[in-house]
Amino acid sequence: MNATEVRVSERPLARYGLLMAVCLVAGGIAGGVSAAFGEAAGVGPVIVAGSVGLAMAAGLWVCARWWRALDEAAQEAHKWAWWWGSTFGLAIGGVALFTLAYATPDALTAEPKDLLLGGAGLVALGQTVGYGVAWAVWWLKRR
Amino acid sequence: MNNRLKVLRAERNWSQADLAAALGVSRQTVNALETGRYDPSLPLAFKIARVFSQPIESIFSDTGA
Repeated sequence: MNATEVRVSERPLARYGLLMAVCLVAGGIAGGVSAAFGEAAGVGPVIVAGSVGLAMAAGLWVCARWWRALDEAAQEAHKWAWWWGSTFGLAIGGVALFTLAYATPDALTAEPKDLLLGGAGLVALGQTVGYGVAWAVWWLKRR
Repeated sequence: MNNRLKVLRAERNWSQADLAAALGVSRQTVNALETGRYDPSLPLAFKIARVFSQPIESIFSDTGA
């Protein structure tokens, strides 16, 4: 099959299940290693980096296979959603982030870890919602 | 861009799913092509031409021309 002969995924649920299974195994391994060696000094970050890295690598591998199985219109919908949806979501998330930081008296005196996770979570949520909305809009306009 | 996909498909009594299978795309993509709301890439346009055994210019026409 050459690059122009794309085909539609026939088993999207199986691919999703495979990704979940890989993440489950990675989580189990990370949990086991953490239980066995987590108390040793300096091992925690290595375990986190290793397990998250493994999960990300598995996710990227599944995504690459899924992407190649999409036809060109489906790919175009995702590219459009990635740019417009994520950009608008980033902008809206940024507005929410700075508004909350300004309106919350102790926001800038909170623990750096809380600020980091809260800010990243808020922006990621905005981008994810924006992506989903933009993807749906792309297809609804072409029905 | 206008196209004659729907007419050509009807002449052959093909469903959108039949054409989608012949082209290796989803039925939703065929629908988007037929309604003129999605313009195919050159490789897909050539594939459509091969499936219908017609030159590209007899299937697609530029509305701006």
